[in-house]
Amino acid sequence: MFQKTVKKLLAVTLAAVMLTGCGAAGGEAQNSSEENSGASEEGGESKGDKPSFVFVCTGQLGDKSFNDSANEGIQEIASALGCETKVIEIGRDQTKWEPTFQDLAEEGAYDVIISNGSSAIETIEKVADEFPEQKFVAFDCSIEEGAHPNLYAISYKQNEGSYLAGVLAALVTESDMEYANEEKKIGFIGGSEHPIITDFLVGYIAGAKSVDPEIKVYVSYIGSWDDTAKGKETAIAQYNQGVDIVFPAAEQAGLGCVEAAVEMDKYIIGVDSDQSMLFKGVDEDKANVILTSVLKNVGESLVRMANMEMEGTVPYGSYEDLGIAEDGAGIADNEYFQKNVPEEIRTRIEEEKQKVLDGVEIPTALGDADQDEVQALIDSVAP
Amino acid sequence: MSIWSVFLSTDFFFTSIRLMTPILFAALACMVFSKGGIDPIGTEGIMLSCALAGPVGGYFTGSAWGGVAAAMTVGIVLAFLFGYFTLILDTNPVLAGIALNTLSGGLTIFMTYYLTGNKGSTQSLNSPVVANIHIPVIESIPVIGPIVSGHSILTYVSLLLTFLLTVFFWKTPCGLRIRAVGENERSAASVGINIMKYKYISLLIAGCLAGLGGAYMSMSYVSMFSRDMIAGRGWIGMAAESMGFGIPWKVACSVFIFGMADSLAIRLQMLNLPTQLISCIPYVVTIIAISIYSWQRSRVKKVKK
Repeated sequence: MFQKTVKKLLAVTLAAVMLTGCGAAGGEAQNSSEENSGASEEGGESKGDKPSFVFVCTGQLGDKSFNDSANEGIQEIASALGCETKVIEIGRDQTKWEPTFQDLAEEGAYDVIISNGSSAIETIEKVADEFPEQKFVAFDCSIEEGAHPNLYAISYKQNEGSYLAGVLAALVTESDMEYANEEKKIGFIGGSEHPIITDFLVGYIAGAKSVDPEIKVYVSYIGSWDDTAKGKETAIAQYNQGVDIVFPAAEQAGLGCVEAAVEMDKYIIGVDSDQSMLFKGVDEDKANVILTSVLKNVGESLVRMANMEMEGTVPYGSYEDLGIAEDGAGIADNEYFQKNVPEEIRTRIEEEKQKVLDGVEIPTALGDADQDEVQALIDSVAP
Repeated sequence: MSIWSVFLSTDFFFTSIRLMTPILFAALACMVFSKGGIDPIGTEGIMLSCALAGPVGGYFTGSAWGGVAAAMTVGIVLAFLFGYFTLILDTNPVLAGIALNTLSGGLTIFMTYYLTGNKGSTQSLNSPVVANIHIPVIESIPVIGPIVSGHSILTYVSLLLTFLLTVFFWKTPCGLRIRAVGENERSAASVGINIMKYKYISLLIAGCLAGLGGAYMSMSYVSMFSRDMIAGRGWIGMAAESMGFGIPWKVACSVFIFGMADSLAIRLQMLNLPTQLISCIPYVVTIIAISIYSWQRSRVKKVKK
């Protein structure tokens, strides 16, 4: 008798655990969307025929960079424009991507499906062709002009932002700032070799060379986007070579580089989101060594897109390349930048920014760029 | 800078030791699991959970050692959980291990979000870290000083444990019984050894070791937990354990080889060599090492015949 009861109890507990397990997985996605739908409710009454947006996050929120920036944009679309929005996190498991897009398109509950195109563009293109009535927006990627009439892509001129970072790095290494040394060496760390990362790199090198053609740029790859410890190790190795400022374009792993900078009293440039402001009030040491951050204003670009959608002017079927002029890329100008970077360097950066606005061509590694020329540029500053 | 200057710098060896510490903890944990006849497949996941428990424990207790204790506790709990499923409920160890690793991957992100409102890392907790120590006399010896001194306390603990485990498994009755249980359960049972008791002792020790490895990652190597930060070190530890034939000093040597390969890959990038070539060094070393391992083993088998 007793045994039977125990067995029953166990069965019930197991079933409960399984159910809550399933619930939790769905709950997480629900959770994050609640904030958004909450925000949208305020403007929800006057919603009328405003377009609705769903952001499919291929990965997780909380990366303090790309996805979070997109999420902020979505929040703003909800609060400022009063559109209905939703965020769905589907993780890194690529097998889940296609069915999610298909389900959303089939349901047709949202006018526009937004997603990060840098890794999911092929899936998005495929689903976009399957559902020609559904509008899709992919950011951080480009598409073939006219091939998918219901898909609009936004790409960012990361080379323009990192050009300014290169100017800053070169000026810092030649300055008499507290942590700068005699040697004219600056560093670049990538998560792994990827065309977008190379685009960051060529912009950075071009910026540095515009200040001093003789400058040396150390380039390393961590080989991972998550391994913070290895990121730290890579940055330490560069600092040990006499590098005094490093620009890591390595997502999560870049957090390790920030730790190395703090430990070794060196400078660092953040990426994708305003990293020194993220550390504000939490860890002032870290906030102070991050002189600025190279930004891709994903959030702003999505708000821009939403505004265009309301006017019906989104150029579906093609893509737009947003740079400093469209506020799609740039570097962070925050209190730490103002406090820690000397005024003459800030003025010089402002001048360079104006040059870019006036149409000075910055080398790129994307599109029709000649890869031999790209390699030659990288080699020209190799130590 | 030439290739030789890479090899000859003290900094290269210092980095190698720092890189090998988490792998050594993982390898020792795998070794203890295997000695007790338990599959070490869950090590990666246990370490990941412990890496989160460290900074969180440290934050709540306000001391680094509180964090290390929390990491070890979580290590023991997860090791026992794994043991409960595989030993009592007779689950396939590979499946249980995969389940544990997947669980840790998701649960750590969930807990990080729950505690900090941030899914990427625990940077907002500002948790304490385990100190590095400079050994007074040794520090001033040229060449050896800069290599041996100045590491995290946990690095010295890992080396000390390598020695202590050798003594434990070869000189103490308890250690010898664990080995007997791991090598042949039935014979062990026939001489009256309580199999379950010794399996649980090995789970306890392995859990502690994995906990220390996790704590090292998030409380010493870097000062916070970040998503998926173990990044395969648990698996490399497993490889190093089998390469070292489960003999502590050989395991430590194979771990050191992995550490050197990693350190070399990072350093050679400073020279103007193609990165694709350099980033494959750790993998090439792994393949060579495993080839040597299987060649040796086949030779041992022939001798036995």
